[in-house]
Amino acid sequence: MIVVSKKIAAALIIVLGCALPCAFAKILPVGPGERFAEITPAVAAAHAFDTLLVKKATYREHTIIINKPLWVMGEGMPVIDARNKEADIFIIMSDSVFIEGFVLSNVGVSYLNEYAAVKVRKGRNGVVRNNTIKDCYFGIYLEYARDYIISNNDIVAHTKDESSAGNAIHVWKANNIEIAYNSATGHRDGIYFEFVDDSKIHHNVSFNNLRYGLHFMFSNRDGYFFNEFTDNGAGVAVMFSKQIRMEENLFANNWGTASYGLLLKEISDGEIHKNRFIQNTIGILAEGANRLSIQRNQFTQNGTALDMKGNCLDNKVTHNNFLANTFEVVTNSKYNNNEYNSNYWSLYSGYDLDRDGFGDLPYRPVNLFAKITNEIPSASIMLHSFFVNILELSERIFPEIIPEELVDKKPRMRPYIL
Amino acid sequence: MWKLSYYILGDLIKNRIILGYLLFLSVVGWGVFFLESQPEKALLVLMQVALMAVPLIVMVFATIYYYNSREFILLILTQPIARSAVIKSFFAGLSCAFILSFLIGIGLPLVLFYPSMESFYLIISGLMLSLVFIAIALYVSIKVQDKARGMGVVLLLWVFFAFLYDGFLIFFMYQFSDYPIEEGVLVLTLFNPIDIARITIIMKTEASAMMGLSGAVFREFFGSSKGVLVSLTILVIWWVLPFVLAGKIFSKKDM
Repeated sequence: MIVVSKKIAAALIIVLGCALPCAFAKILPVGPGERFAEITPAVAAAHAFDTLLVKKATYREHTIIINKPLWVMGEGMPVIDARNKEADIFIIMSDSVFIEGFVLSNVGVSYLNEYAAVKVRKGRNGVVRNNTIKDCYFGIYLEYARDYIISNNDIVAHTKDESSAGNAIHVWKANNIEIAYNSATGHRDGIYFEFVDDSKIHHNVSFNNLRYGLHFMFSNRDGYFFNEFTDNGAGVAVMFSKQIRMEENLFANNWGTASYGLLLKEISDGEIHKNRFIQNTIGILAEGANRLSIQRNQFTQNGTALDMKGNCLDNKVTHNNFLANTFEVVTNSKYNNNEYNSNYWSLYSGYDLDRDGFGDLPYRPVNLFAKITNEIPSASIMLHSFFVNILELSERIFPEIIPEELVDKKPRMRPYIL
Repeated sequence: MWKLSYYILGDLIKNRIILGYLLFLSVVGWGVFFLESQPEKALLVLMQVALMAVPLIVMVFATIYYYNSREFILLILTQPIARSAVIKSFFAGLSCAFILSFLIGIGLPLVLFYPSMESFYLIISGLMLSLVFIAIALYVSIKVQDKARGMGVVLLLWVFFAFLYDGFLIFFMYQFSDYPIEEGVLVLTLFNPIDIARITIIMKTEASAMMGLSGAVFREFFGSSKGVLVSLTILVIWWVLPFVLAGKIFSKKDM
């Protein structure tokens, strides 16, 4: 919150500072019975750094092009209804634009253009906040933006079909964006990032989206904190990025044949700390992930907690809790290039004679049956069968098929309190 | 018939082995919840007990009990009582004793410490398996005159249902892994009551794992309410069929 207010303060100072030379900024009221009945003419009449105060009413407008610094503010949540026209509602083509306090609805689906409720095409120091966006093709769409704040927006759609669905928050080619306290649901991707660097995403809720709750690619040095990604078609995908920090997020109930709590693909030097992965088909799927630190996370009741493919190197999986997962670690390699240490594994059944809190016997978290189901998926039906349990036990004592070096030498006896 | 079942139940309740069974289930059922802080893990242990130990103990005991009560049965049959009533009361008495033990030993702690759908399915499956294996044991012991042979057959049947069948299934899946065998496997599992019970439970407990890949096919079947109904029906068939067959042999048998 402090960060948000700091940025707003900075933006305010910039707005005020620039406003000084043009004498006094005016407030232009918009609404039925006011000087301007509609928003578009008011924008045209306004000078840079004026405020448009939009009164509560329903405005049937779209393609409102804002090409000067303006504060567009709704009073009592006025509605702007695009009536399913294939057009954007706000198009921002200037720096220092604030859009605040609107209900934006019914931007039509287009197969040619990505129409959005708020579209930012090149601009910096802007804010989009406290809006409700209902049934729009894309919600908030940013391209070539810098230093933007998107906060407290409630973005809801009811799309059924992935091909005709847009993203709730879509950011492309941007820098230093802060996305906070938004809620995104019913879209294709909740939050979509491509080529976005040095940004923060925190306290957002993204659920019931058709594809990913969060989807980002080619975006470096970004931070994700305290977000909740639940019940999304394919969970969360993070690809081709460096130095990502993901902390204290919740990934839950992502169920499906190709559904992951968190899909990591070609990711390096990131930190994944203190997250919770609950009841996903796969908690984390890591493919080509390098030098990540996966620490103090909680994996609970996932089908597979951690699927670490053979092309992952030098990751540190330490101090995590693995509770009641069907499979704890799965890999497709016979070798191990990652470090597993001091985790709590609920399937571990060793003892602790020296009372140091860690089991005296090392633990191999990969089990044979996971390998079998990897080869013949229909064998998953034999789970917990006595026959399989015996096979597994003997394999654990004399590892033949499972990677022998993939071992936690200090398995913890009791779960960490996270 | 009711009077007779009542006598048999009274005899069984005083039986030391039944008491031992109750004690064993209680120690496991209550103990596991006291020792284990995670109820999911406790459920897993109880599932193994319900799927492995319960069928074994139930089957062995029912067989021994039948063979030991042969004189009693002969005595009863001299009375004007229908043979079908005798076998029915035998089944009813045995079932009551085992169901009560299971409910007290495993059902009660589950309901108290982990009230959930998983527990519910575990209890239902455990009860069903008890009935199935009492019926199978009665069938075998009526069919096979010799005590030692009867025991051997019963043990073999247990080994078959508990291990061998699953081993064969996995072997089958390996051999035909290149083909879409999900439906075939699904049908094959229905031929083993322990498998049906196990799958019904894991569809609840390990739901997230079962969603992966071909797990979806099984989930569609066993996970839906229709599938649960089908698997319960088949479990019912699994105990009604051996019982009816046992009754047929019993009513014609030269004692």
